[in-house]
Amino acid sequence: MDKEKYAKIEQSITPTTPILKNVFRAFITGGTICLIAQFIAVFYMTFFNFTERTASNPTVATMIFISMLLTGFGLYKKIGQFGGAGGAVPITGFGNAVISAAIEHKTEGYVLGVGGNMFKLAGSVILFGVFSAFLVALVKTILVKLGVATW
Amino acid sequence: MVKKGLLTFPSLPSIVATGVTAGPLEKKSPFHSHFDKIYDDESCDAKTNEHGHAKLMEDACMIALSKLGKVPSDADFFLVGDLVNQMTPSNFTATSIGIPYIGVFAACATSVSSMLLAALLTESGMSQLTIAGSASQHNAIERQFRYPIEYGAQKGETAQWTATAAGIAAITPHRNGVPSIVCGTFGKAVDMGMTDPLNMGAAMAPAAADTLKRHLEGHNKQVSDYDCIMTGDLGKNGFAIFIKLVQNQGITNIDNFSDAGMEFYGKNPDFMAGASGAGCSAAVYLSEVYAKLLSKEYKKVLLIATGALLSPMSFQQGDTIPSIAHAIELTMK
Amino acid sequence: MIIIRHLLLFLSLVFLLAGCVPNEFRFENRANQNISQAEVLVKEDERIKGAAALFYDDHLIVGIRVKTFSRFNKTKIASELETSLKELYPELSVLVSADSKILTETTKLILTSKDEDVKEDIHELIALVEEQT
Repeated sequence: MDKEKYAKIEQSITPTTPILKNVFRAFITGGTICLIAQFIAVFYMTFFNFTERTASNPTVATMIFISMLLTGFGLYKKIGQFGGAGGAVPITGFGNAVISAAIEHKTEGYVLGVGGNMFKLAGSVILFGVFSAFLVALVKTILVKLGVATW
Repeated sequence: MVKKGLLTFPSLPSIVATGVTAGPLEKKSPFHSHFDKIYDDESCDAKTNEHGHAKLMEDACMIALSKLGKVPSDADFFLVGDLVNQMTPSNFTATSIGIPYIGVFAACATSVSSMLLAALLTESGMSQLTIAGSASQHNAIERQFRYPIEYGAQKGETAQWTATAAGIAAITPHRNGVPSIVCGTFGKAVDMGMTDPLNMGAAMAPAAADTLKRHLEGHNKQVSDYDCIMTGDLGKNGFAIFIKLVQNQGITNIDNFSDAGMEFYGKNPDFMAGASGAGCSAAVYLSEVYAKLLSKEYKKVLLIATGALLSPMSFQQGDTIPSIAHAIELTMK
Repeated sequence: MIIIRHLLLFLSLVFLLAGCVPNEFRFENRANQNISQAEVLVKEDERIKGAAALFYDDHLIVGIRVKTFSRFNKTKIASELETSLKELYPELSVLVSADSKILTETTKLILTSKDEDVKEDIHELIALVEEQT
């Protein structure tokens, strides 16, 4: 039996990824996380001296803190299993990537274990995050110069 | 007559005792009543998951030995394996147990390959008592091959859940009243170009089909000769492909086929396609199947353990996943 | 799963109720100014769906809420409005912001009619808007 023939058999049996279902779940999960973050932002604006602009920093910190608790109690992986990208894309997913790696490598010590491996998964998020931020800034600069958007 | 990869054991070495241990999640397994010990803690109250892994294996060995009324120093050989880098849990178990040790690696097929090697040693007259088997521990193996345990990555339907379990067999020259090893077949590494590590069943199915074919042809057997033909950890998807391949070989009666990985968690969808790991097949073979052989519910079984021979690095480098399947035939007279 | 279902139900309810925030225009004159000009200017801007404006002493502070799809240009809308208001009231120090914090705080200042400390509060708001992140 050759590889192509086997690939045909394999594809006819392996269930296809339910893209629509996954997209819907990601939308619901990601949307819920963002909604919660919006509540927190409104909370900071209502009870503290933060404006819409400055409230984003404490909101992000709070969301990462919540994500840390969920990761530690083993709940975030369930959210991730349900929501897929919806759980991975918001800042909570980033926090989960950092914290899960830190928990995992604690047994190898704090310097070489936690320190060395904490950004094992999130490192590429930081790298490509910075890179895409650069690209987005470039696009926005062009849009502002064209007068379509403002800073 | 010498045939490639085929083994026969005219002296019928016997599996005189087994020891099976499992983690807390494995209470959900329909086989859990056959397990000798179930821990309440995933890492067996050890400091690290890897130590827990070693403890899982060590306890299974001690249970198997104690059923015989033996101590480790009575055993001649210790043939075990696992999936962690350089098999450290097996190495640590071997250190504490002190039996002359050979590490065996065939990924998740280690359960059968170690038993075949033990049968060979016994057949040659070099061994009066050999301990063989394999183990896996969910946290240690997932970390080895995939993401950190708490990382929220979505796994698809075809992904498998590494079982926390150890299955250890004590093998001696022939004794009456216990299951014996009749023959076996070492598999060929088969690579059908599958690359998805979250669909290992599809990578392993051709190896299982190939080994089954070679075993039946080489030993002149029919599928209907067996009460049960159980593959290792193909999972739901891999097992469906395996059945399709078997049917393509012209075998129509598939009633006695089953898969240890698929059945391990009772087809619970929380565990996706089913269980995997070196301990999965070992635990099922040496608990459920062994018990049914002992009670003479099964007279003759064929166990085909399958293993995906990948490393996290090999698939990241874009390599395909070669697979292997080893078969062992047990009878009860 | 049951917990998730309850949570979804609860959240959709919250979603629906969240739409019930009224969008109003409030204008308060505590500085003896002619406010009708400002009122016309703000209300005629189609991109603005709510505003709170307070004239106090030599200050004019305006918080606006822009329509959803104009939010991309909200700082631009605010600064346009600020320029035109400055032209109308050259003697006042004008602050226009599309930040919801300014809107709610200005509304609060209008509604709590006590007169002491208003000046201080306005200065605080100006500091908030100018704060660097």
